[in-house]
Amino acid sequence: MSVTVPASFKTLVKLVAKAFYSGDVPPRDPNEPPPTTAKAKQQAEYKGLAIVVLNALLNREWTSEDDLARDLKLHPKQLRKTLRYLEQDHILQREHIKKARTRKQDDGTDGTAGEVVEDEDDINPRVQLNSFCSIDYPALLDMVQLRLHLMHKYLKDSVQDQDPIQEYLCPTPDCGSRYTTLQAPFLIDLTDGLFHCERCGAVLQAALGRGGEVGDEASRRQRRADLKNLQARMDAQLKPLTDQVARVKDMRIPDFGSLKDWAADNKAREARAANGGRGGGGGAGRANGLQGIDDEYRETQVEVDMGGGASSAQPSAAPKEIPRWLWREGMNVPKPGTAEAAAADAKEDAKQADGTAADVQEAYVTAWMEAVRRQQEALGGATTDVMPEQKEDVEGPARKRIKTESGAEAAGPAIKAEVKPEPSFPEEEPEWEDAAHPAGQPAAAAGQTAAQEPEWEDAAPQAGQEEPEWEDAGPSQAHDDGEDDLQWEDT
Amino acid sequence: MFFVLELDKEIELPPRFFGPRLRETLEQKLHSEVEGTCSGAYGFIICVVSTESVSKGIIREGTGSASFNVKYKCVVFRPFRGEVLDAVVTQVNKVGFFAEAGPLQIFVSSHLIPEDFELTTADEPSFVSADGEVRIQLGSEVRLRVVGTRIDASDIFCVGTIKEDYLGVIGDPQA
Repeated sequence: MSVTVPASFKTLVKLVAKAFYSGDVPPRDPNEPPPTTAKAKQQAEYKGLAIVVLNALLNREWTSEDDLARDLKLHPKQLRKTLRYLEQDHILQREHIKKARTRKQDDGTDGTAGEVVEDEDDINPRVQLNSFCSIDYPALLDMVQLRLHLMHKYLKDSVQDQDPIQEYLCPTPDCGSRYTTLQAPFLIDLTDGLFHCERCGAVLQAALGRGGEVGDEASRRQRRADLKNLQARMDAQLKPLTDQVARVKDMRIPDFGSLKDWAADNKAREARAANGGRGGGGGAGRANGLQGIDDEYRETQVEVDMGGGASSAQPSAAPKEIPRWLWREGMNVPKPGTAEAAAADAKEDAKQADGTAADVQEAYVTAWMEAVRRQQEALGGATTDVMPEQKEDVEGPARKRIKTESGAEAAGPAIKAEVKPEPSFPEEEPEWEDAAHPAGQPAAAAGQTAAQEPEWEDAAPQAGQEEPEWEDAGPSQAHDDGEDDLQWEDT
Repeated sequence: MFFVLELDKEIELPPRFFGPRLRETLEQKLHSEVEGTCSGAYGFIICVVSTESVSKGIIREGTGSASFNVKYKCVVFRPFRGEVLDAVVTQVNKVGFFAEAGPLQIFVSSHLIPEDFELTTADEPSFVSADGEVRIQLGSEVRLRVVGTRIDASDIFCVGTIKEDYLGVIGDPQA
């Protein structure tokens, strides 16, 4: 399902960007010294960046931040800073995926590629992230509504000045105590009728609003007039935004969903488009971004190895034998991995193509008889134990097949997650041999780290039966016994 | 707001009161010890209505006094936020005025006094309305709404407002 963003939502985003994010995004830290070099200056320029970024994102769905940086000709770091700020303001949603590790970064501690990262701060900085972002319309709408409401409320409350508990501040810079009217009986000085600080004795000043301003009645009145003025101006200036929010409020809010869902969705859509022959004219631009997601979200491939070594003895290219009880009238029965069978098939196919129905039947019968004979020869009557009444039973063929697969029940199915072939470590081979004979083990054989040393010694006595941990990730075909392999029970 | 509560109190009586009027003395002592006090939990105890039960006295070793556990009913006054009270102004100054509603002290800050009231310090400090008709001065009766309460273990203090409809001066000081 494709998400189309209505124009009114796009207008809303533009209005929000112009209203609230026209300045530095993120705002400049006043304590931070201004950059000195020209390059640093350029990289520290955040003015209006949010407008640019949001406008660019309006025409994209989920997009890779690297691509976005390239398209906008921005430094990725600079862009990331802005995106992060916008994410904190609930305008964008971002997701981080660990990049597939290259050999160099491979220290074996940081999970796997394609893993979704919850918080980009939490992970090892050496792991590279693929970050994606998109405009989060539902959150954005909520955010804008809440923000407008809070702004109005703040100004309204300030104008009404109905805060029941008046605060008083001590003007002495070293003291800075705050008091409220609830402490009035302790603060009041009966001689001059004023409040005095309990600590330093200075005359307290009434606080105006919640900020640090202080002042008497006159300044309070002045402030209220100013606030009223401000309120009127704000209402006037934010009117386009409030109107747009009101317009958009009852519409269906476009939602891209999570990155994973969106990627899967998009993939399906593109596949559909390809099948339908319509071609992805609009999708072409996105193809690059999608590629990355595909790589990262590549489904873990699971290879089911039934019966361990027994199955590996069969030629892998051979078609699976269809059990006898599944044979049906008019069915072409393939035989396991014989060239003759293939030839017979081809012959039969050719006959079928040009011959009459009688020809086909005759050819079929000969082929079938031939096939049966060959099979019986090959299996040496192994199939005779198949119960005849199972012939009619065609329900749950897959299950039955599993049952009769040689050795399937005995060994138990072992599922191995396909792992990338680990680079072999040539310098570790001799050490392994060293470990097997602890007597002659040199203490620091060829740069072995001290941390690994004890493990080696532990592993040494059982070297014959048990593989040390580090070998597990290696090519498992080398192991004779499947028991030590990473295994899960098939459920 | 006023409530009738049943509370209890441990009262100690010296041996010289042991005699035929013991019960009366006990009640007298209860009245004098309890009335007018304030507890944060119940509020101001205004008066004791009745004595419900008196336990058997226990002689204190060493002193010879007996202590009695007295259960009594009393009227308590506890202010709540939002409550409207009538109070008498006790002090007017620049920051506002203090008023008393019985035992309760209430402060009304100047920003919770309607804006047309101005502080004049000519004769005695008072808030005078723009038309000069209404004065808030020492002894004025005002109706105010409690907007904040501070309740300590043995004290209650309130902040009030008269900046609302139907609030303000309801009587001039009695001469």
